[in-house]
Amino acid sequence: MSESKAEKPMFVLLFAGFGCFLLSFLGMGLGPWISLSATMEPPKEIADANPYKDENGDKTDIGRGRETYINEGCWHCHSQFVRPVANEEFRYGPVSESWESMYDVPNTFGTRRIGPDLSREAGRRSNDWHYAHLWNPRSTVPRSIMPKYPWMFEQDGETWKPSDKAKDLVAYLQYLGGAKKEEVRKMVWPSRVVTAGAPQVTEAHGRRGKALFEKHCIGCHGDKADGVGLAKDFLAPSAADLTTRYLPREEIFRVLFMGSEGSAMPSFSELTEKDLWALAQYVHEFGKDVRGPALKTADNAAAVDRGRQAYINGGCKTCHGEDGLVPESMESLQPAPKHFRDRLYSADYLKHVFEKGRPGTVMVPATGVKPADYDDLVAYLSSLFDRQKYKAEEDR
Amino acid sequence: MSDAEKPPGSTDELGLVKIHLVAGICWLVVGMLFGTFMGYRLSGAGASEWLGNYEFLSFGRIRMGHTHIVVYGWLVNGLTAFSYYAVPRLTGKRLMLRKLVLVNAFLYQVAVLVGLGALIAGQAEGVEYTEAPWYADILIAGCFVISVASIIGTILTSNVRAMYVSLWYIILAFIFTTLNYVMSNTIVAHVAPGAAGAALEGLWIHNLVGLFVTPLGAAIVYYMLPVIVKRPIASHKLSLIGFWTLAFFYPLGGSHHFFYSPTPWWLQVIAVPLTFALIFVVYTVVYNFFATMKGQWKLIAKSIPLRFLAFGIINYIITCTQGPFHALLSVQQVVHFTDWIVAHAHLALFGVFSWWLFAFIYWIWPRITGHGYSRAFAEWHFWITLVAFWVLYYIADTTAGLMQGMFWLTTLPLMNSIEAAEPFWATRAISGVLIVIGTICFIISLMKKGKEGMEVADVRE
Repeated sequence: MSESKAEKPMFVLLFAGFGCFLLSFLGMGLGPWISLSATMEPPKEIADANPYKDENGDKTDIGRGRETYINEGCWHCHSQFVRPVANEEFRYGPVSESWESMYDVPNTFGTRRIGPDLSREAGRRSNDWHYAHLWNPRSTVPRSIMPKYPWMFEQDGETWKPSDKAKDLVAYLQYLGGAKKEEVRKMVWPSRVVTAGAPQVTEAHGRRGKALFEKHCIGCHGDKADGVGLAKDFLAPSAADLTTRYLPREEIFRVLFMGSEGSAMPSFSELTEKDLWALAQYVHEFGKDVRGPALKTADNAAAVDRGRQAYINGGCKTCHGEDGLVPESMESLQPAPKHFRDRLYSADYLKHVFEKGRPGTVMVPATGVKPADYDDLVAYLSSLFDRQKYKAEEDR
Repeated sequence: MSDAEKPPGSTDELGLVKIHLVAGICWLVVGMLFGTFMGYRLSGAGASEWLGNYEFLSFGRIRMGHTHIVVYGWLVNGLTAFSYYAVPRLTGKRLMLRKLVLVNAFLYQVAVLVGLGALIAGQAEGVEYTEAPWYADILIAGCFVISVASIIGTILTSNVRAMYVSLWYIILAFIFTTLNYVMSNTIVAHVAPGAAGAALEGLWIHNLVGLFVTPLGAAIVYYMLPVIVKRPIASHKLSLIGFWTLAFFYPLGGSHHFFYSPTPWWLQVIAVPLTFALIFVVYTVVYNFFATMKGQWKLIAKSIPLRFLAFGIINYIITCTQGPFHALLSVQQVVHFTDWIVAHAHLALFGVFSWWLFAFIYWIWPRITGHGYSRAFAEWHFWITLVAFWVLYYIADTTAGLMQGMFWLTTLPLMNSIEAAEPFWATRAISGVLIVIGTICFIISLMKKGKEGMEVADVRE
């Protein structure tokens, strides 16, 4: 074997071992670090406040949540940066910028994406949704393959409650991407949706709708659509009992597309329009039988009139508005008060809500309405339904 | 045991080699069980429920345990064992710090165990491939440095006149990795923030594979191939080029792990050609292998070690050809974040380097135990592993990855991509079970005291 200088042990050790490491460390490690420090322009409120530590240097709830996120290996399945390619901006929100992770030591960018990217999670879903999902992911995403984390929850009698660990973790998730929250909000929670109207229904719609319902909805709404699903312990307001209300398909489409901000109902705007209509059709069927009896109560003009008085005197008008037209000032409530023009409820359900209110919303028990007037109020609320607008729906 | 059986004047440390290999094989089985369990967990929505209430069986923790075990338990043990064997052979000098490294061989297993325990108990550090917390890092680093001191010290004090290729690689791997490991567990884990941390983490991930596992794997091939086919390496010059291009180019490509991330754009752009240059590194080794094998291919039917080496080389060609192409930005857009990369990583660390280690173990086994292995079980090991890994793991997972990438280009719900991957993930879980069975055949083969491997002459370069 020939012997050259490059084959001497010391030469290899110094140049290949140390030299190439140093070159790589300086050029590809320190270089970008310096270049980042020089070019990064965080907004002032971000630059001044480390979200993970308080003034005393102790970990905040967000900081503790991040610790759990790392300890449980969440970052091995959830990335934390939105790339400017592959439609990611459209799916997750604005492309990530370097200052957004300036307090993350070590970084949690991640290299694999089994579940969704989480860097735009702030405000995308409610805390309730996150608790239910962490406790058992199948409770909000029936087809999820994510592990469950029951050890972050405490059992209180029959019901489950989040422990501090889960609360911290959710605080962290709700912090992620907070600086871009408004941009994401506009994308995920659109303020309006316009459709060309429900399509003609075929039997295939029903089958597709059923499949979609089982894939996306049964965790919260339950397999009987009665609002009692796996997630029930965590949801306030509870998931809607779909058998107690008649919802025109356009209205279901609207809720599916926009979600219901302030409740755990997320936006399903990622589904195709065709799928949304199929799902709307399927959900529509659950409450079909509510329509007849409800409209019958509305045919009693005297009862409707008395109900109207109860509605005004009982204070319902404040939130639900004159003649059921929710005033703009109340639209910012989360969730917003219901429009009675686009839905009919069963008498039993309405009476139940008059009595108990709707925990988790601003709907308190209707103490201003005497139980004797409940039937009249039901008649009045049913009369608000916009029969003209949904005539096609009724004729179908 | 074997020290007594050695011919007089031998520099071998067979007992030491055996400890690391046996420990490595034990870790391999545990690591594979972890991997198989992960595969099962991803096979469908219901699979997350079974035993899902036990936190220590949670996917995230098992995921970190799996890579911790296969890297630190299996690969480091195996590659260190090879180095402990090859260095005295190639330098003609006994190992330095013999007593210390013998104790260290046991201490190291404790260090790996401590790290594994911490991960399973839910104490992790957010740096990929070195998630074990700081106290485990210190233990692992301490033990590793003792091995490095012994190996490098032996080479430097040996006055060897012409250093064989394998020794270059051994020096590079141990020196570079010591620095790299310390860098990742200090600067990346505790100092560098966000995108700056990601650039450095990219170096760490990349260089652990590229400047520890790869050079030591190459060292195995350069050592064993001439010994088994009984002819020298075809081109010394090419091996020299291969070595220096590896040492120079490989460490410069790490930022390709974070393409399209908020790391500086100039860093991502220069990483493309610097990564693509690795294609030269690969084909020098590959050329040398094929040129040395020329006319000797019939030997792979006969020799189990050579067969694992040869199929490892074929996997090496595939995985290392994939690598540079992954660095093309257009390819990145689709395959990044997907199972395509998981398949690629397994092809490298299992299909290449683990197979080269199998080759080394089959070859060295008669030397360190004084008895051969069972041919029949070795054949089962080879064929089960080959078919299960290739068809059920690599092809399935690569397909799943491509489907995920393509699904994400549409704007359909993410869940669609998960459902599409599930059949392939189920296939992957089955491959895990088969690979574990193959590995059990491997262990039975080694324990059966067969005749295979005994006739191999004790060749010394």
